Amino acid sequence: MVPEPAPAALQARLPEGSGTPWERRAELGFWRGWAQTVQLALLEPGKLFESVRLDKGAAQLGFAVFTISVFWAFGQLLEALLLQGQRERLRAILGRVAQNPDLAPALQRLIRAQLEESSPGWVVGLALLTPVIALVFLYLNAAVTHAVAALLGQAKRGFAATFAACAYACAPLVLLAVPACGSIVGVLWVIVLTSIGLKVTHRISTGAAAAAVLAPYFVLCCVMFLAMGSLMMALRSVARGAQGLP
Amino acid sequence: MIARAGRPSLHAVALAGIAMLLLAAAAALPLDAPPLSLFFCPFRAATGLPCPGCGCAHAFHFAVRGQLAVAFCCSPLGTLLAVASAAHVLWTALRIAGLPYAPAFQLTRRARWAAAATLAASWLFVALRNGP
Repeated sequence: MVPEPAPAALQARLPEGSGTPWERRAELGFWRGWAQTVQLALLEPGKLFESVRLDKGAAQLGFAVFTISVFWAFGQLLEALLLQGQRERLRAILGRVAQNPDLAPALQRLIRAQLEESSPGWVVGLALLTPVIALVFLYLNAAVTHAVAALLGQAKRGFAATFAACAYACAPLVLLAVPACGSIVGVLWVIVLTSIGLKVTHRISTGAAAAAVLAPYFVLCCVMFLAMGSLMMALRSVARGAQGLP
Repeated sequence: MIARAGRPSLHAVALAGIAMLLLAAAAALPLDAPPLSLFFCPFRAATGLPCPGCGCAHAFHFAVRGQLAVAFCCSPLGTLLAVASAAHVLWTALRIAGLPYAPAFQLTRRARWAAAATLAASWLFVALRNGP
């Protein structure tokens, strides 16, 4: 359950920023407000997070869902069009690998899932579902980050502050529209911006903010590193088996 | 602690919506068919040991069917999350209907240590029960 703020913490939770350009879009205009917010997030994140108003949760949610879903959908469609040839070749290779009986069942399931996800039906379906996926991703990310920050005793100004940091930290996800490398750069930038946002919105030290944000990613990275290692080893053993090597 | 409160915030309502979505997915999706059967833990695949989140999908699956003991054996953390999700959905619905109370937690140092110990104990339980 989302707890209500204790009376002593109420003062610290009162909004005091003047509002980000997106939160002032009624006076600036929709596109100008959005563009200035993205520009500030990418170039002057400290200034952006200092101007955040914690009572503007709906605006922050709207900014993140709009930014993620529009650019993700655009990126998926662009990637499907531009990299169609490579995708078909990869599908053929993965299809052959998935049929190998020596492959671990878990790996076979993963490859089958990859094959399904890269089919045209899935691409269009995912593009249409992006606002819902973006909303769920945003709240789960904020909830996990807030839980870790709370465990470390660094969640000084409540969930609204963590949510604001996570929402505006999604600005670099405009790079999702760039095929191939855009998503990697964007996600790394999101992690850095979330740390900066958490530091400013909760008024905590840089080390504490980095620890709160990086702890879940550290676990995730370890898991991903191990997964990539096991994938490489499995593929190598399949290749050796195909060549008749022991 | 329970304190007087007004209408639930946007975040409380959104989190309740996501919790309801997770519980509905756990109720509707079978464990042995796609998409849930496609999920696997890369940490477990690489090391043979479960990760802290291992068993949560099974715990949600059994918890929404009222089999809390089975759910607990799959993952104490997952069971706790499923029960907390259901409680949050119910409480938020009551607050939308006009209930003027909400839980008010003070996260003291002791409470933080207790939460960390619960996480570690859950992981140890799953590792000992389902480990290699």
